[in-house]
Amino acid sequence: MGHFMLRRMLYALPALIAVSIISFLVISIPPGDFITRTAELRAAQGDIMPLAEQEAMRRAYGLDQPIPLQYWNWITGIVTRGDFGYSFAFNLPVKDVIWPRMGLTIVLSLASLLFIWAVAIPIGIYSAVRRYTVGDYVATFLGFLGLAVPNFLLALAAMYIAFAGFGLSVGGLFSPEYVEAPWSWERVVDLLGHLWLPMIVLGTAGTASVIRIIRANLIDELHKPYVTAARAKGKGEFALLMKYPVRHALNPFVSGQNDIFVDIVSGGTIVAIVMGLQTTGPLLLDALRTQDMYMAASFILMLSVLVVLGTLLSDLLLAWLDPRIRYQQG
Amino acid sequence: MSTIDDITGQIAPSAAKDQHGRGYDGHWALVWQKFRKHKLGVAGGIVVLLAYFVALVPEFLAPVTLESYMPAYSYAPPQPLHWGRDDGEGWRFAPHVNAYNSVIDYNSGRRLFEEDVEAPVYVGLFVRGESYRLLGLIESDIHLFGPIEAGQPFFIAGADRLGRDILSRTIYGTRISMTIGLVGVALSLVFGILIGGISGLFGGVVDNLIQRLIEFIQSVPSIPLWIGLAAAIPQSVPPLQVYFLITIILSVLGWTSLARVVRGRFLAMRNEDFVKAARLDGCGPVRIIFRHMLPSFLSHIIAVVSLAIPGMILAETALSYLGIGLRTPIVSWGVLLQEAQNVRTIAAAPWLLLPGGAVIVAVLALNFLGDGLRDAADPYSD
Amino acid sequence: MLEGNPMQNRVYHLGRRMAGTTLLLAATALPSMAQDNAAMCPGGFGQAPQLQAMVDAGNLPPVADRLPVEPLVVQPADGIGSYGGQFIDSWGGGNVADFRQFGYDPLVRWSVDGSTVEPNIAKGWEISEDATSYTFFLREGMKWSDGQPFTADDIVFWWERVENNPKVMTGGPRGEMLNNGGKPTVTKVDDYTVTFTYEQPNGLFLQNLAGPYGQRVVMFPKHYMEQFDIDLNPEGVAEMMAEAGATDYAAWWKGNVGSYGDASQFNNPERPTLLGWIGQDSILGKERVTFVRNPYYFKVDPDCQQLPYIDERVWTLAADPEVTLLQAVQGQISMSPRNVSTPQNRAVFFDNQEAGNYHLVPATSCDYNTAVLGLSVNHPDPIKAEVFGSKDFRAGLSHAINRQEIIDTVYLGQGEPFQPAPLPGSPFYNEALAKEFTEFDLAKAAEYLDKIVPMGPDGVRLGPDGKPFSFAIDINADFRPDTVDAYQLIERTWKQVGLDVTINFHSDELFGNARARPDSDGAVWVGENGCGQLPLVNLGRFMNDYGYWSLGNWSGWAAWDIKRLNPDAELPEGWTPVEPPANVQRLYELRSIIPTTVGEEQAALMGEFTDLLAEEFLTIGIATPAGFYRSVKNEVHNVPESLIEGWLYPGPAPINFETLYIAQ
Repeated sequence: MGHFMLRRMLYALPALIAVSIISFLVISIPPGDFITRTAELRAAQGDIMPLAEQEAMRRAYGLDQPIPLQYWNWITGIVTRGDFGYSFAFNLPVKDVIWPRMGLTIVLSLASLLFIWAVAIPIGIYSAVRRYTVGDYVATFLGFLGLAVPNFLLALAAMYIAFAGFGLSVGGLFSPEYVEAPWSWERVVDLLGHLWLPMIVLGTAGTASVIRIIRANLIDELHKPYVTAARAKGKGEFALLMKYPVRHALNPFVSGQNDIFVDIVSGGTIVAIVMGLQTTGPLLLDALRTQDMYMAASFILMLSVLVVLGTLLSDLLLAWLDPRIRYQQG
Repeated sequence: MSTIDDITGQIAPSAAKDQHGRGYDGHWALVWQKFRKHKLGVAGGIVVLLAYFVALVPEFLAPVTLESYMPAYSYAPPQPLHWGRDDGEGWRFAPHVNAYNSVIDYNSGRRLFEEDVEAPVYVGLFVRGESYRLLGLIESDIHLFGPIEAGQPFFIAGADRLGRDILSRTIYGTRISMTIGLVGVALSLVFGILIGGISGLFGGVVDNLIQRLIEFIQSVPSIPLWIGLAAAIPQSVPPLQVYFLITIILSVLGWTSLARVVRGRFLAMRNEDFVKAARLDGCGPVRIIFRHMLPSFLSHIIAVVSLAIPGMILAETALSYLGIGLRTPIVSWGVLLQEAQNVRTIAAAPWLLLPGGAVIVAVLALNFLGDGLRDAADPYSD
Repeated sequence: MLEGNPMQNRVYHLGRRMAGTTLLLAATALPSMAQDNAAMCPGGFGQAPQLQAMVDAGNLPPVADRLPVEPLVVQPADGIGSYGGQFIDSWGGGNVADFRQFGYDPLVRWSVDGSTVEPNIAKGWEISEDATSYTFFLREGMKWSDGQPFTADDIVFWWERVENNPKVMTGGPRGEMLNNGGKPTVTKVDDYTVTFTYEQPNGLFLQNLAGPYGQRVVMFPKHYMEQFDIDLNPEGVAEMMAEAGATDYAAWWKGNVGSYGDASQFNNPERPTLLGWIGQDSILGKERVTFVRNPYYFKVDPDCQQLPYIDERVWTLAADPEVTLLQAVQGQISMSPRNVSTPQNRAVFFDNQEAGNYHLVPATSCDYNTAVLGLSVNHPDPIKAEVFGSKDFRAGLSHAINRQEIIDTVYLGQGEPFQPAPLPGSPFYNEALAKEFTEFDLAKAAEYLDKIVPMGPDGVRLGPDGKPFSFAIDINADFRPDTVDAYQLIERTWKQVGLDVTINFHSDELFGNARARPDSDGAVWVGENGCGQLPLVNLGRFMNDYGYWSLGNWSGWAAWDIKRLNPDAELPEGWTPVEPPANVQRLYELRSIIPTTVGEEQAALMGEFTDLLAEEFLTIGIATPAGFYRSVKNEVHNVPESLIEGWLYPGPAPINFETLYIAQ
């Protein structure tokens, strides 16, 4: 297993290098640069930025250099000094912008992930076993309804209902007095009080696909001969389900979850934007739209590392669920 | 060759009977029988068919065309439908809505509307209105329903900011929203199965290379790519084609998750006896993938596809939300919702959310249809 | 109280809104005789209880010592206020414009009503007869927020070590400080007197100083800023840069020191300021920041109480405008920000007034038009250049716009049909220019269009070459939704007169690229800075030559003008001079001459300028912007009855935020 892991990691290296180059290139495709975007955004506020000032800023930020040189400076900074560069928009080193938001992002993502699994896996199993019953229909219908409502609409509606119906304070994950406060028990409670709404909004969209996949896979498994055999042996239905079919049914599900880390970091961007959550998703989108390039490139590089890690993890999980894979690749 | 023979053989309604005289049907007939049992699936299928019918002839179904504006009806609420009218000689059946009188109330920030009972707008079926070309060919001015006297205000589902009929626009939006993603999904499907299949089937170095390629492609962020491509495509290309081109380019990159799933299944399956047998028989990889291995987990693929099409519909609305998808003057559900995605609409003009209802119905129907198909694709179970 | 106040003459023109009568700025606003502030307020000065406590504890000098000898007496809009409370604003992130209502304390300032320039940090000024030399009189005893004196040395330091320091201002001084390209010499006469001398007369200097970027002059405390100057403190700067991991001095300076326009100007709580509130912490990357009262602020109310009244200014970061809107109607924000206070959102604000405990304060806009269309007179395609360059074509387009319908549908019936022109109430208002071709008349439109693009057989107009003529207009769909709506309505009526037009609605990211293409046919943008005296500092905008920000391809004429002024000048890439028509040539001349004139002469030339604009009809407008407002919490007092939105008049910053107070 260790050997298997090591090899997988080695293989990931060239992919990462290619990714770092491509992510930098992709950011350079859209016309203009951070300075032109800044000038446009300022113009929208009435402030026409003189060309001379634009040129000066470009020189100061090194944006007048050729792209390959910019890439080289950036990547060597990361490799040699762990320096991800500077966010022009925030006037701060990239890491100082991203890390403070990472914690909350992970909390929110894990919360909604747990919500999804807690709701979807039991429902998926139930509706596979009790196929075509009223319960199956109702569960499936509700699950799909969550999927079918566009996320931003749900978020907007939820926020409006929270505002108009219940008079709750909207926007963000904290009450005003706790936004920049140090961590304390009160702050955690305050966070929990704000977390549930985005958690449910984010979760509703995810449940349907999980229900669907679990149900589909489990139905496939339930008709395998070994299940019939086990049943014939008089094994209890629940134990029987849990022993093999559910585990097998999770297999394709797991291999589809390699981007789970990416989802954690960049997923739910739209919901975060609509609900004013200060998580990493909107940060990445803003960086892309304002062409804050070191910020965006570093962000994408981090995401890629997470994709590779996620793939690795799902391969390992797969190997655990199905030992044959391990031996073949090992 | 044999593939085609097999399929036609399966489709041909077989009248063979076993020795007990019971009919047993071909594969697809069984599938159909099975599908019919899935009530939600059948309902979904009917709705999907209807939706594609709407997408085919919106000009006929919508009361007015997209060129119809009535600025005095800006944000007009839905006109209530009255079935009859007492015109002094007793009540008679005459379905109508009433025109609105309106004044701008600047202080409260809105137009105030009042039904004008003296100005009924009689409505009927198969009425003459604005002319259009049905399917781009047949010149016609017949609309399924609408005001009997063409050009009169008829806003049964309310009006938007510029006094355009929400119902008509939603009907027109069906065309683009229901079709824009189809090619992309089809391409993703082919690439995903083929590349995932090869990866899983061969394993080893090939698998490794493909997996690294997938990791690489998955790490390329789609939003900057989207913005970049949209800027790179020449301005002379109309906006709709730009969007279409980008969906195709992205679907060329979008096959990866399906490929990984297929690979996972293949890895588990490639040592099964029937695969070994096929390989020993000298079958090529493509044949092994499509003929032998694929059918064994068709259900999973159908499940993935049936989520992918509504996924495309939802993606279109999400991109429009971010302002990088389709745009006015193109009419799609996403564009219509983009105009409605604000507090002002939810608070004061909720009828603008009608396209959201259309999205929900279409996505639900496609999912139920997929669900039914999935169950039916494996007709020998149960 | 007020009658007895010897400083009463300091209170300028309050309550007169955008008065068109003050054509001339006071050439001289001489300060009264310097006197002890104790004589001015024999009863002593009042101060906030927190400051009083600090004085009592010996941590702060007495208030009379903190104030200048002659504090600026500010007349509150309603009445004397009381100390305390928080004022909560929302801001969109790094952009200065979002943050501008935080502080407005330039050397000289716009009056609340925007009609004149008034003393502020300078207690008065003197302009030489020929308008080449401006002498400003500073306030003796005035102090930075750290208690150090503010003197002429600080202004000279800004001019020499910031504005003219190529290491930080690599592009040279900003245009506001120049006069027809010429730099002034800045001299310290004594500690409290400083003179700016130009080679040519400068007719716009006071207006430029009163604009947002004029504040740069008084935001660099010499005693503190010297440490960030790489020439004055090479080792210290190298150390700070190393600590920040910075390699480029100009970039580091911009990100860590900063000037007006950079969020970093508020990032260092240690940095002394002259503004009413000072930072508590760095603001970069924060979601909520708090500023507290500056104990050395130089203004007092008529009762001799030191301003500001409000204890804290709080800024909350808002990502999405819809979230901001909900927060505003929920009463979480003291004054709604501009981007959500639109006619479109008025219904939402109106409906929630009681629940959110706020009211709506009307606002006029300094924008001279809701949407200005500029066509590419220098289009690379000669046919298009000929058509777009034709006044008949533009007049035809303009007559085919149903402006009243647009106003009723998009702007809730507010505003009047209008061309790009100085607003009514501005001394430069020209009715012929403002109202020409605004009537909706398709027959007239066809008549004008027939002269240049005659109707073809298929109902589509033909270009001068006899081929069908089509064109496209670029619009930023993310900027102002009302422009999108208006142009959808316009497209309809244009098509009715046989024009084959496409309206391209671009996303924010793509618009800049689309409009910068040389073969863009034309673009639409809002018309800004057209109220009061602002047209004077905004001439280029009215003739649609604003450097790279011109609407449509204007590069040929612009290049001609660059060469006219300096035959050796280098042209931007791809620009080739094209000789404009005689009237436009004269407009270009006037654009150079007007800033170097004053008084009657300036007024006469402005008259000629607007007459020529009317004759040429270069750009097409829709309506005067109207129907703006801000929500203001009911607990906030001393907000004027009506506000002004703008950029060069940086509304609503000049409403004297220091006089606002919180009371239930």
